[in-house]
Amino acid sequence: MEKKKLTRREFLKGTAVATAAAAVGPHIFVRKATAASNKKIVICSYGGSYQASQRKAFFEPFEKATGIKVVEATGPDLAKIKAQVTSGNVEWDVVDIESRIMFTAITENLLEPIDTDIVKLKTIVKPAIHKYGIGNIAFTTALTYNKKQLKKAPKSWADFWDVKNFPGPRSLQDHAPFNLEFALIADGVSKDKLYPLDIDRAFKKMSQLKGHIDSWWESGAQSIQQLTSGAVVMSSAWNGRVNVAQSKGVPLEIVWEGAAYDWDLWAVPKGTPRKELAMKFIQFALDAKRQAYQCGKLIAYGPSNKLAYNYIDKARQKQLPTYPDNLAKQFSFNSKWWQPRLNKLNEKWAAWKIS
Amino acid sequence: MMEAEAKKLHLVEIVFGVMVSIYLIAPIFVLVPMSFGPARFFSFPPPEFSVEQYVKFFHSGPWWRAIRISFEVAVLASFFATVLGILTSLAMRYKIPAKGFLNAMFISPMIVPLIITAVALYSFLSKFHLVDTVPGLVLAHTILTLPFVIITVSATLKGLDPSLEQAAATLGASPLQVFFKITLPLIKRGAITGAVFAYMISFDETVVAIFLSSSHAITLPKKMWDSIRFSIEPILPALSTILILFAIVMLVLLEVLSKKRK
Amino acid sequence: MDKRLKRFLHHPTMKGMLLLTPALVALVVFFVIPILRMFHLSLFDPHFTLKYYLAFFQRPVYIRVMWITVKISLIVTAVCLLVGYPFALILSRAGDKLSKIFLVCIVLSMCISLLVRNFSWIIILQRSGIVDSFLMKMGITHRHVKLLHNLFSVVVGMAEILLPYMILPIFSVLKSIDPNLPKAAQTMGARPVQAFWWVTFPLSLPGVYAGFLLVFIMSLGYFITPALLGGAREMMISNMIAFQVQTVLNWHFAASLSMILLVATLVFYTIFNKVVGLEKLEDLGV
Repeated sequence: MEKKKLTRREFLKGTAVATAAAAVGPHIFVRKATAASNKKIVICSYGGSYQASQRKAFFEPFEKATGIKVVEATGPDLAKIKAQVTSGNVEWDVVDIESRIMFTAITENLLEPIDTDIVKLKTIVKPAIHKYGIGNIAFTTALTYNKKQLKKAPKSWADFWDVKNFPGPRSLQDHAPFNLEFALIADGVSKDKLYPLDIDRAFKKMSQLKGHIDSWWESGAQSIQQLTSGAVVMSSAWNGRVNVAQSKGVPLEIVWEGAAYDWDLWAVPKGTPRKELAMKFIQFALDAKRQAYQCGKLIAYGPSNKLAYNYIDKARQKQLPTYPDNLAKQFSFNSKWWQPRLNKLNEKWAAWKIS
Repeated sequence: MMEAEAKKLHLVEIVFGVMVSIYLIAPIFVLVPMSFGPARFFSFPPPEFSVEQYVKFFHSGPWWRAIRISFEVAVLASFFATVLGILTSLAMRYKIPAKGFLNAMFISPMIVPLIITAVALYSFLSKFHLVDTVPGLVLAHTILTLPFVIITVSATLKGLDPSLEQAAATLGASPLQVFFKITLPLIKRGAITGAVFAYMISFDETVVAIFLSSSHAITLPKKMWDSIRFSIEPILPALSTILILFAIVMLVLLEVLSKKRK
Repeated sequence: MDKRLKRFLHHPTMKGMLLLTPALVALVVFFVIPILRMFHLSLFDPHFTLKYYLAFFQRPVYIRVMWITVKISLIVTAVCLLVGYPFALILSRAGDKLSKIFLVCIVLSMCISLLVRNFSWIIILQRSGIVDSFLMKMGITHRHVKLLHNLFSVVVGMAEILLPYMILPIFSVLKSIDPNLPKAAQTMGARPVQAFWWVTFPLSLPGVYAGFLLVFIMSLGYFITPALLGGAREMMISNMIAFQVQTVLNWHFAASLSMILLVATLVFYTIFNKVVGLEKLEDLGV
């Protein structure tokens, strides 16, 4: 019998070696992180090509200029911010959030006031300035379609609802905001007379289209991917991401008419141990030239620093949500109206979706 | 009696069996060839042969980091689950009060729906700042894989002749010596099988990882889940093929372990 | 060491308890207590209230989710039974080589990551994916057919993963049936089909019960497949729990939903234990 008797020493040795190997071994696969200092800042944004533009225009330059490592996270939803702040365990030092999220976070006391000693706001446009958050970009949520998948080009949200003349599966974002407005516009409401929203009318109109919605997108990347692959022929999408896809040759088009205009803002969750670094970063990211690089070259959103427009060429400005011609066709998303109703309407939305 | 010997299967039955088998392993038939196509679009069959998906994957820092974290968690969880599992299986040989109840309790992580365990641990561990950390994941996965180790080791222990240990004790061996020199070698196979099971389950574990891992301690399944849900990365077929390969290797390993005769 | 202490520690029950303590502590602290906390959350906010359970019967959305969960679970279990039983039968009668191949397919499928398998179904069933393109190329359909993000895709995905849990119990019982019994029936004049229905099938029922219950229980708690392969209408109770935790942030509802799912699961496992015996679960593992 060649049965090996395992002595205790051999067993313990074996275990020690195995555990050590387990801990050390995998490190050969990954190159060691180059962060020399233990100073870091965690920034949470919306991922995909948008976050890639922020990386190029802000995160990497910030690391270079200050030596502070930027750790990225995605998915800045209110639930997680609330969980972090209430448990006293704030992971995200800076968050990039849409306006209605910021207003809700304010009512729940989840944000630090912006430190105006560090963050200079003189050249920031008025609508972007708030006590607890500073706008970084103006973005548009618009009807987007794949040119190759549709014979006729849709021109309005009414066309989005017209399944006979514009057949094919559609997609919309998986929540109530924006969709209710689009439904009302499709139902004939003028975009200046949207608020206060007629909720029942909006849901009734949504029900008309429900059978033709193939999927509900949750991330910007998803919305673009579905359109690109042809899984859907039309969808709502963020204009900047569409622009990036177009620059890569994807045959997508957006419809400015009836689109929604809103702000993304930098905010700082309450109780973060790196508050000062967070404010320093925001000041860094509001710089006119850096915003011009992001919006002028990388992704077609509207910068919040007035001076940035001096560095963006005229042709490019025509693609931004803030261009007067484009602005005239859009409606401004009223996050102040939405904020007190957000939870209730999202619950109603969930119930409606599965009925 | 002779006429009713091994009845040959009808062609229909063989075809049905083959079709069901194909249904069971459809992923292999689809993802493997797809992984050798261009990284841009997913098309089947791939228009051209290319290994760019694999190249992209091997150069991807974030994916390798996720693999490293999954590996660390799986090894540690498997280790702790095996140690605890061996202790528990040994304990169950003695006369303990409420053994049936305790047995059921130790099996319960296997029975309770994963979402409940995930949400309960998420809430509980956040109080100790253990969410999105490797230790938190190791704790969760140890609990989840413990029942499997207990079942495997207990089964091996059942076939163990207690007189061997008694003999060693009467010859003057201390309890620890009896354990390390007699018991452990005999349950080695069961223990290793249990450890391998625990490793595989932890490495692939998704539901609890969705809640307990987000940006710092991101496991491979969590990263894949994010990718499939939100932005399908072009390297997914290549990654899937590699994972299928590992599954086959693990399966062979388990086969070898179970074939080893004493 | 004091002689009495030594004897006390060497008492079999004490030895057992000492060995059990580490795992027991770990289990209680990191499993039992968290779940008890959830139970507490479902009833106290912080005052005692039953509203998080009553809402379950009052709000249509929760009733709907429960209905969807049961419906999908029943359909998946039925599909697994209709496909799995014949397969188990064929497997039990197949020759050595063929049965080995079939078994390898079953076990291999169980070893492949859940995400990989669901992802493959997305590729296969998506618009202009493998099936859709094939159907159009063959002229069977002239427009795209919606095969993904609906009940069909969820059932296909869940059944593929759960099928082995139906096949293996039935197969293990079939294999244990004395082959002389149906043969005896035939020598007494029964046709093969009759021999099956009157002898083999009744004897295989314990395996059927085991597989049926196992697949049903596992389906109830399913999360990943409905999330990846289902549409809005395929939201199962586990998805709703996740929604309450991650989006709505209502831990109380998440807790009450969890408790209801847990009780349902335990009830069915108790039935399983009475009808089949929990040891069967162990047989499947090893």
